[in-house]
Amino acid sequence: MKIKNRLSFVVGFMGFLGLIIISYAFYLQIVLGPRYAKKAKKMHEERIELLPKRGGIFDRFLRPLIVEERRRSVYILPQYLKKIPRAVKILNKYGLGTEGEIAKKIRSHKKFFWLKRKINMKTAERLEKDIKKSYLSNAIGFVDEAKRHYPYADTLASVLGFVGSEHKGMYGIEYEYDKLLKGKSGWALYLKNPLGVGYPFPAYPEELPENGKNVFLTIDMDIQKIIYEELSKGVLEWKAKIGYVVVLNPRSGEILGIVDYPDFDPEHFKRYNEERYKLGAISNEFEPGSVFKPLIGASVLEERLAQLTETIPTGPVFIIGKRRIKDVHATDRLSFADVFIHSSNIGAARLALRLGAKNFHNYAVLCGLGSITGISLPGEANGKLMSEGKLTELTLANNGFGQGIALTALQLAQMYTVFANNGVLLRPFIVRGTGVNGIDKERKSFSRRVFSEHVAKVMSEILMDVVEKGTAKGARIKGVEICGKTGTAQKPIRNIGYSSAHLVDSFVGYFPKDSAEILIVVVIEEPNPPAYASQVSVPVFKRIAERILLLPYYRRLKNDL
Amino acid sequence: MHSRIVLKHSKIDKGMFGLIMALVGFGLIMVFSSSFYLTVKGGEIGDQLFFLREQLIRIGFAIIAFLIGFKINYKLYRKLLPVLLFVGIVVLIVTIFTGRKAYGATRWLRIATFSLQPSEFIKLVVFIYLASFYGAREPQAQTFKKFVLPPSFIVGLILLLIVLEPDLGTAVIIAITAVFVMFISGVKLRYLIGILIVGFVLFIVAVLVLPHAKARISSFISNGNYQVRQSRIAIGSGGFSGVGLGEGKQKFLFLPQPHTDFIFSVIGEELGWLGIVVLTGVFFFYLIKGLELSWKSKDRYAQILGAAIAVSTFLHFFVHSGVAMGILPTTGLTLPFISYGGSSLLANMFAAGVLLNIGSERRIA
Repeated sequence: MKIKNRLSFVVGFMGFLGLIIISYAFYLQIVLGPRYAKKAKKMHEERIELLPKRGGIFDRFLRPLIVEERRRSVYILPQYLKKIPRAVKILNKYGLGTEGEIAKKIRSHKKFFWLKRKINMKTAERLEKDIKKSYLSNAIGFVDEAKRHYPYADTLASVLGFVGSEHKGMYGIEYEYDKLLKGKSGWALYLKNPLGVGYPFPAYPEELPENGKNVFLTIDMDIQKIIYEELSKGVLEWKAKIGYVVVLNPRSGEILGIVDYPDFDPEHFKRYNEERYKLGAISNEFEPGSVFKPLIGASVLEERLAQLTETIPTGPVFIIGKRRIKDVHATDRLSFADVFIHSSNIGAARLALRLGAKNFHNYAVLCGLGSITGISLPGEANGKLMSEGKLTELTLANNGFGQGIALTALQLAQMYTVFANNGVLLRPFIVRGTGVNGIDKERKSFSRRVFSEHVAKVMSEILMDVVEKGTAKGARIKGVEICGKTGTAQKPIRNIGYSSAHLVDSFVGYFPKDSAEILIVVVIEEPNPPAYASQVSVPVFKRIAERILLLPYYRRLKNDL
Repeated sequence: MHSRIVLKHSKIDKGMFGLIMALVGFGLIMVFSSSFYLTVKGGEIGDQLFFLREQLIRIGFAIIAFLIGFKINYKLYRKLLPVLLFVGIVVLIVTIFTGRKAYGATRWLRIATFSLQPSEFIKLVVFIYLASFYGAREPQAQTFKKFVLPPSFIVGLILLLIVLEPDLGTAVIIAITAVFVMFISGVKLRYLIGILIVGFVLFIVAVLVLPHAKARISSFISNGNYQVRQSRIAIGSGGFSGVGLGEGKQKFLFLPQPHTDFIFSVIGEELGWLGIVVLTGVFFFYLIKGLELSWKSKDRYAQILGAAIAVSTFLHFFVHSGVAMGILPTTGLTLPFISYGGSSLLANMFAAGVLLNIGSERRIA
């Protein structure tokens, strides 16, 4: 072979080597390429959820009802944890569990898990330093989270609800407005190195989280605190089962305070029965009793079926079929006003019958009975209202003095806006509005006229006399005209019937009579020993009203003579 | 025959020079792209420009080496051959006993502040020796004793020293280049086949004796090498046109030595199959142009020296790429002109200078 040929052979051979490179690269990149690309993506990229900041909740004067504290959560990637005994020792030193517990957790997980959520920042910072020093940062990581504190604790617990472990709002406003408060999570693609440590990569796309909106309540925290304190005092004093108070502004429908007692501590919600989480003032129904009577009176007047000047026979017993209706203090005849001032069951039953099933049902519905008020809180009860067709003479007579129907404390408050607001019913509401900085749109109450202004004014006069000289004299406060009505209802007990040992004592009062700004409902269930509303709920009302009238904003409602 | 040591009116082959500078420039970009993350320590990014700056300094020295190679008459090396051989062998022995250990091998020799890899330079001495040996002898009437045995002995001795460092990869490349040199020098095929058989047996022995070589070969056979798996993922994910210059992700600590032994993988990932095709074409062009330049010389010594340089450069490219794609066992070879690293760049640039010096001689004559 000639040298020239040998040279050509070398060139050919090298060309062949070059072709091997190109063809094998073709096999790797074009044939297997997509598979390798997928594998690489899985190795390199990590999608990380960017958590939005949860919105705050404020009272009507923009006082924050929630405080967020920065906390740090510890997670472990067990697949990268090589020095387990060392890690266990350090984690134990910072109180994250006994050595055995931690080791067991690490061994039982294959991938990412939270070792402990929301430990305090100072501990976390020192722990992080130790982790770094021991070269464990690739397997033990930290994420900042916010821990929501409820500084008003059980004063407001059922209204606000709380946030569960996975940033989920539970009960109350936290539940109802969860989506809005939560905001929208964003995401970012992080680049991972072989140790699994991720870090942002400028060329990767990301979507920033949208922070949650704030919720502004109509609640006045000063009033809320007063009603919580006074209600708890009343419930404890009477060893009662439960109590509710609702305060609202009857000219706007804004709820200024709403509470039930006993409540729960949202910081330790797990210690309580789930029943406690509910806001009893909107979810518990009770039969109202006499506090319901003014609705009958106003309806009869509106329908012109009675004269203010006439007297109603309230003879010792009123018999309908087998039922004998009696009054506490037997009378013979009472004027229209006195039926309410002295709270005659017989008088109210007779007026209800005069009104008739159709009218009764009609006015009850107009006053919001039998359906939820639509307040922006979860778990509202409908109450109980018989349909028109089912109303017999007996049930209608019973309904007349508040037996056989049921409503919530909030429905009761709503019903009384009719009298306090010159015949116009106002839907109560608790959220003024939402927004990032201020309130996007101020909410207004829904309203409808139920009675004429004249009828409402007449009823207010009568209700003022209830306080001045009737069953609710204990509610009188010098310098302010208070209207109100008591209710002492027997509770229907299954298999027994109405029980005089199980009472629901209620009182609804509003003031000042001609331009009411405060309407208060106080309901206390099962005082022990059983006692009349005038002894149980009226004093609570009085203390609440007195304290509200001391607040700077409401001082003007009282004439100091 | 009168010959000057330094050529005065040498003209440079512009195409070849441009090609070399393009490779070096491309190398600088790829070194930066593959190294900027390597200075990350403990999650904090350090001096991202560190390797870029270092490579710039090395390129500076390499260009000086290139100019020296280009300006000095190649004939001088033949005269200095006994000295070069002696120095080379002594340096190899010194390196084996005192050299700096890196990655399990004592391939580096520290001179003042520079660490040099002597085998890169010994390679050139071997080529000069073979070129001057065969340049002075005609292949007609060759005998095994006179034409094959002496160079086999000398080269064999040097290879043994390189293997002992141990740097089996470089030794194999020098050995294969030597076989090609003997082939184009006219050594009879039956002698060459004999040499190949003996060489292969010795290679097997070396693999069995050297623990880390054995490990590499066995992991190559069992396909269980982490570095190579990562390298294949890098190249494979590049697809047809790559993920884009600088956009590769495998260099973020997945790929071992992304700026030196596995820079081909970064190129494959970022520039895709197209990049590899162009790169292969460029190295093949370098081979052909190198052979062409040297074969225009009338001097057989020059022809063989030039061919050896051109062939060994292409073989380097082949082995480096083959390792990166997992079709050859891991050897730790750089990619000529492109990889980060002083010794390799310096030696390759000097050799390229010598090649261009050979190429320019014809025009003066």
